[in-house]
Amino acid sequence: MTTLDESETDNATILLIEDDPEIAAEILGSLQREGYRTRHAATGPEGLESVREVPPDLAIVDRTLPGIDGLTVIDTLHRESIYLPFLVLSALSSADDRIKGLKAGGDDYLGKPFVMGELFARIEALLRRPSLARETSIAAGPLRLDLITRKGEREGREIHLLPREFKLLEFMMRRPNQVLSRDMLLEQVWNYSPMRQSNLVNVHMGRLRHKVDAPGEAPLIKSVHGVGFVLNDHP
Amino acid sequence: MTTLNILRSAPVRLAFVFTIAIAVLSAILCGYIYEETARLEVSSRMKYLESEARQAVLLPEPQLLEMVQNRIATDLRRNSFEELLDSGGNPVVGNLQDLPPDLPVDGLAHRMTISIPGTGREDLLLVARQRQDGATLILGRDLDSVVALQEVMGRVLVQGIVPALALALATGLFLAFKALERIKSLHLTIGRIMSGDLHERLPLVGSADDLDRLAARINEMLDEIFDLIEDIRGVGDSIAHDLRSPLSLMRMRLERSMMEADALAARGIVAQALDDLDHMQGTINSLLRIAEIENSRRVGFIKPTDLAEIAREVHDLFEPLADEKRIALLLEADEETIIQADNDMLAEAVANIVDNAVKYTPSGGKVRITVTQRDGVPLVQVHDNGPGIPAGERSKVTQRYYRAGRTAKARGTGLGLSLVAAIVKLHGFQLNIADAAEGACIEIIAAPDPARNKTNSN
Repeated sequence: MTTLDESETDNATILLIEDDPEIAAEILGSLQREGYRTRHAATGPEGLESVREVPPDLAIVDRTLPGIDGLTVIDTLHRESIYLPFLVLSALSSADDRIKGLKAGGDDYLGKPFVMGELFARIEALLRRPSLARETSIAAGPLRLDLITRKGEREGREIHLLPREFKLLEFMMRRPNQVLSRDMLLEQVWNYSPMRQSNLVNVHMGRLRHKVDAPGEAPLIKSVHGVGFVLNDHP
Repeated sequence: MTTLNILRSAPVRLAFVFTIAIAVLSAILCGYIYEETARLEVSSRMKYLESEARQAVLLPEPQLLEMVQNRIATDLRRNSFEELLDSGGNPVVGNLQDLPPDLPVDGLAHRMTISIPGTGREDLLLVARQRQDGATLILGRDLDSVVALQEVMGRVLVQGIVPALALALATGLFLAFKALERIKSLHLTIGRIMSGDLHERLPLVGSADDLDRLAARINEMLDEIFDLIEDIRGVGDSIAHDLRSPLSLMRMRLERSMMEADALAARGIVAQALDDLDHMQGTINSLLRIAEIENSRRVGFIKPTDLAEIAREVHDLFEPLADEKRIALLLEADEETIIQADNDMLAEAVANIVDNAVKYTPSGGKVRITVTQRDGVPLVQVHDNGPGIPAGERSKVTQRYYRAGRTAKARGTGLGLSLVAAIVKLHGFQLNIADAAEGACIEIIAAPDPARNKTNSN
C-alpha cells in the first residue's frame, strides 16, 4: 500500500463490524469526530456483504459476532482475494495462534477495553503502512538517519545515539506525524508486550527527546496525552 | 449388588471362564491319557497273543490239546478264549466252536466284537494260525483290563477333577469378590468425590497391582484437578480482592467529580479514575496471560535461543528506567549461552523479574543480571540489594497475588512472579529464589541443551 497523505487518511472509509449497539455507537461517533467516513455492520454476514459490495479502506472487526465470528469473516474475505487492513477487537486472549497469524499478516489486534486514542493510533498505523524500503538513509523533516554508519543528525548537528535509541528513532522516522501508542512502541520496537501500565516507554522517549530536540530547537517529538508520542517532520 | 450385576462383573466372569477352561483341559488330558494307555495295552496284548499262537501251533498235538483244555479249565473268569479246528474246519476242542466269520487265518491279532455262545457279544483280541497238519488254532483274549482302565479314568475324572474344579471355582470367586469389594469401595469413594468432597482420595492397598496402580494414577489426576480448581477459586478471590478496591475508589472519585463545581478539579478527579481503570485492566490482562500460559499444553516456538542475548535485550529495555531511579542495572552476560526455549516468552519472564527488582530496589541500589552456568546447566540470575524476600515467604512469592510486605510504595499487580513461574514451568525449567546475603536473588535454571550436550560428548 502506498503512503497516503494526511487528508486522504482523514477521509478514509472505515467499516465497523460490531454487534453491541452501544459500543458501536461510541466507536462510530469517535471515528466521525476524527474525520473518518464510517459504515456499520452488526453481524458477520452483514459485514461480509458490506465489504463485498464496496471494500472500505479498513475494517474494524469484533472477534465475537453473531452468525460468523470475526476471524472467520477475515479468513473468508482472504479466500476471496479481498485484501484490506483489518483491526480485530476482542476481549479474548491476545496470544493465540490465529491472532499471531493475523499480526504476522500485517493486520492488528486490540484487546477490549481500550483507550480511544490507542484505537486511532492503530488505525493510522494500518492506513499508513511505513515504507520499509532498503535505503541507506532516511529523513524526516530536519532529521536524517544514516542506516549504514548508524549515525543521526539534525541540520548538521550530529546526534549521538545508543543502539536502542537509534532503533526507536528509526521506527518513529518511518512513521512521521503519526501517533504511536506506548503499547505499539513496546510491541514493535522491543518486541515486548507489557501487562501493566509502566513508564518504560516514557523513560526511553525522554532520553531520545533530549538528544533530538536540543535546547533552543523546535521540539519534534511530542507527547500525545494518554496515548503515546508523535514525531513531526515539520516543527 | 444384584445377582445380575455380579454375573456382569469382569472378575466373576473371569472366574467362571477359568473354571470352564480348567474342566475342558482336564477332560482332554484324561481322555488323552486313557487313549494312549489303552492303545499301548491293546498292542502289547496283541503281540503277546501272536507269540503265544506262534509257539502253540508248533506243539505236538497231544500237548496242544492239553494246553487248550488247561486254559479252559483254569480260566474261571472267562477272559480267555481258544478253539482248535481240524483241517476240515470242525471244532476239536475249545470254547469258540467255530472260526469267527471275519477273522483271517494269518497269525496276526485282530480286534473284533463277536458273539460267543453262552456269553453274548464280547470285544476281543483274536488270532488264528494254521498248524502244519492243516488244523487251525484260534486264541482270544478279552479286553476287560482295558475296560477297567476306562473305569479308573472315569473315577479319576469324577473324584479328582470335580473337586479340583470346585476348588478352582471357589478360589476364582473368592478373588473375584475381593476385587469386587475393592471396586465397590472405589465406587463409593468416587461417589463421595463427585458429590463434592474433593479432598477424598481412592484407597490403595499397597499391592502395586493393576487396580492399585490405576487408583494411584486417578489420585494423581484428582490432585491435578484439585489444584486447578483451587487455582480458579484463587483467581476468583483475587479478582474480587484486587478489583474491588480500585473499583470502589473509582466510584468514590467519580461521585466526587460530579459534585465538584470547578471543572478543572473535576477533570483531575476523572483522570485519577481513569488511572484506576487502567490498573484494573492491567490486572485482568495479567490474569488472562497467566491462565493462558498455565493452560497451554505446549510452548509456542521452541528453538535454540541465546540466554545472554535475552539478558542483553532486557538490560537494554530497563537500563534507562533503572537509571531514572538511580539504580545501577548491571549486566554480566558475555558468553553465548544457547538453550531450547521460546525466545519471546523467556524474555517476558526475565523482563518481569528485572521489572520487579527495579521496582522494589530503593534509589541508590543495584540490580545485577547474570547469565552463567552451574554444573554445566545454564541459568539467568537477577540479584538486587533491595529489601529481599524473607525465607519463609519464598514459596509464596510465585503464587498469584502474593505480595511480600515490601510493596506498599510500588504499585504493581502482584502477578509478575506468578507469570514468571508459569513460563518457567511450561519450559520445564526451574525457578529458584536463592539465598542471598542481601536483597533478593531470583534464578531461572534452564534445562541443558540436549543438542549441545551431544556435541560435547562426541
